[in-house]
Amino acid sequence: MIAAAILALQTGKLDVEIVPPVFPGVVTVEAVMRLPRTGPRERAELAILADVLLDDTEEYGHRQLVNFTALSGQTVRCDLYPDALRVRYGVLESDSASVVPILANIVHDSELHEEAITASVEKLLFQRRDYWTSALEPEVLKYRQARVQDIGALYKTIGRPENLHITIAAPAALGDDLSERWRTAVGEWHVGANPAFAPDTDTPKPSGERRGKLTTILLRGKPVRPTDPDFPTNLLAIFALGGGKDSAVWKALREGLGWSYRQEALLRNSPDGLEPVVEVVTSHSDADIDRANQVRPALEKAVLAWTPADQAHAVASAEALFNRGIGLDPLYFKSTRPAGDDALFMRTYWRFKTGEDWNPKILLDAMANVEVKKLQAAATAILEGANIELIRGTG
Amino acid sequence: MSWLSLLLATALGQAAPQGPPNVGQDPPRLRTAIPNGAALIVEPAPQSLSLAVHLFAASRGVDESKTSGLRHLLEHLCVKGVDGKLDARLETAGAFLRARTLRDAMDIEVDVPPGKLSLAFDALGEVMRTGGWTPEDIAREAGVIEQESVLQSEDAILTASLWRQAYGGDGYDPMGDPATVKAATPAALEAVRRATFSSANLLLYIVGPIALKEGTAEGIAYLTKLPPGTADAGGVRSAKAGPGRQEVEAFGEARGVPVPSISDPVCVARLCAALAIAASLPDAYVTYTPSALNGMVVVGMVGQIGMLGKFIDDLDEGTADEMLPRAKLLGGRWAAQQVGTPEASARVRGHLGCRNSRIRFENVADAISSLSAAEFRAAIASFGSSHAYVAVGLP
Repeated sequence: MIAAAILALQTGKLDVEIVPPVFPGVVTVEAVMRLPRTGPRERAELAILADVLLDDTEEYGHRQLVNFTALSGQTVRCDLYPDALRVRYGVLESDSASVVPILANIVHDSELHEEAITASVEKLLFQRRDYWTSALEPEVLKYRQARVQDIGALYKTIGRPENLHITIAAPAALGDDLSERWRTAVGEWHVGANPAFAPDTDTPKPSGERRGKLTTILLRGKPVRPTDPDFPTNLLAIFALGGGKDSAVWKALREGLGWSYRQEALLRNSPDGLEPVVEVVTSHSDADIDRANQVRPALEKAVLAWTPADQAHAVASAEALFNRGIGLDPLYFKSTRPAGDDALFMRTYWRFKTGEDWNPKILLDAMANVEVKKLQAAATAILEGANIELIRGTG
Repeated sequence: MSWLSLLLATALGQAAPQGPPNVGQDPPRLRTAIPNGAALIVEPAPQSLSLAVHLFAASRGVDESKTSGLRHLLEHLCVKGVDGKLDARLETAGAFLRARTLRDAMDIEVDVPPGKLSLAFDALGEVMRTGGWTPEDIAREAGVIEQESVLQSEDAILTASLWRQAYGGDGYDPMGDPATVKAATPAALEAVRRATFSSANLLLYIVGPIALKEGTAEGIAYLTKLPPGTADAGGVRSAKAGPGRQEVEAFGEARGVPVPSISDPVCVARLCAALAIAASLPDAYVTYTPSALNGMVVVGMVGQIGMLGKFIDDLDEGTADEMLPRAKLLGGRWAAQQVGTPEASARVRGHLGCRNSRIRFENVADAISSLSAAEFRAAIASFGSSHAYVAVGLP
């Protein structure tokens, strides 16, 4: 990014940043919306909201939104993460006058029709997700308990100016105009007071089993805060645990135990920060429970055996990823997918999460100085504090 | 006489239209044929942050209808290196190795920091000479491949079934048959190794921040050391059975249409048709790997059954005509994305070039722009239930 071409507009409740185009001739919009803390019922309601959000808006129908944005190669999409609702789309530069109306319609003027919500419930109840997604999001959501009026209330809670973090990739010449249009659009909203919100306090439970031949074993650690001084140490621990083919999960689980092809350590979105996760996928067998119990001791043993060579490997893996975009990316900031290769999203999400610019160089500098003992302590703490979740394939 | 003059060097890329705009400048990439049968392509990309070296090993020397999966097993074992720690050594040096076994070729890619070409050469040399596996080595890795095979996504299962249906043994999924892999003997694997890494099957593609002259000289010096290989034209992949419908253990549906090489306008037309169909449906996908051989274009949907087939079978010529502009747009974007970065360019051009040195990917864009309404209608019709191979998931 060219610093001089960046216009940041952070005035009071508005967070909009204009950056140079990602694709020539296309204006791309990335919007991340903070979610309230929710229980399993609201989580289901949010999933429904994300599913129907683009169905119809005051000015644009679903087909219009899709067709119009598809022309740019950046078809509009809405994704739900544990801590945020994300909207992304592009329009051709020649249609830049539509950039703000589309965003305003989606985040503030969506028509949440009851029949669309009903259809969405049926769809989500029976949706089949790939093994990786269902492993990282194993909670059983209460779709049947979802209430139309609550979905509307959630929508109004989320779509408030102070919850929106927006980055628009557009030519600098359009920056002032787009910012002003957004300011004007938001100024016309009648947001009122933030509605009181008492979430369902049940703890979501993992499903325990999934259809198919795959079993997944998760170690879910306690969330770490990306603004904490220890974050670089925790991040390096994640690289050492699961970054690359000489990491602990590779050596201890794939090469050591030999019953898994895919195993990773990663950090994913959490309302409380970023959640360290070790995920192991294996084919369903009678040994599932035994295998689940083997993962933590095997990793703890591998961590205890770390030497400066393992620290150097982890740092090299982090440098290769952040400086040159190669290697395995443990930053699962798209909930079930890594995000490091999506600069626009990373920029927006990190700002939303920390209030700071995404600057991997600062992290790398800090990671380079982490001693092996400190690295082992961080990894051990992640493993010891982790809950084991086993989702067995039904065969 | 310089030894370089013994080599046949051909400049590839966009031909200069007329006159001498390229005089005094390097071509975008240079292909060099080595007397031992190997080939080299060097593509300077000064802005790239890594130097990528791909070793493409064409599959023409291995009859996969009889040894389904042995190339895949070879890939797993040879990338471990002679001491089983090649990955660890590379990653600690800031490099990364990844390997893919495709129907047409195996692609072993080593990404190294700029200026470390010899690191990549050493790694690839080690990959090619690693052998001498024991039955225990094979059994262990067969287990890992078995784990890998159960990870196949629904779309991959649908696509693999369409290939098998159309091309029989010539269309086997390169993942391979687990039973064949398990039963592999050291001698059989050694035979596959020798055939796969025969010089006549090899194409080395160097892409990244390196000068054309330097990369070419170093690549030639490296490849020239390899012993001469025997040329094998390889079989011609041809459809073994007519179109029809089959039920598959996957939740979704897909339609596949056999296509000639990417250089044929019929292939381009069918690809554009698939892209236009997919863009008209939520979350539909298109699968096509640019190939110098007969292949298959697949359009599919995962997570539902019926919508795709109904949509395609309801298309009439008028609708096809309406879809043509979007199809050209999407096709053009697809073609641009295939070679949109130097890294992508290497994957596509290397994959094509190791099977046919005459194919020019640049011609795809021309074929798309000159796609006529009649050609497009025919392409759309080829996806109809009476012409296409149809895979439908079991309820």
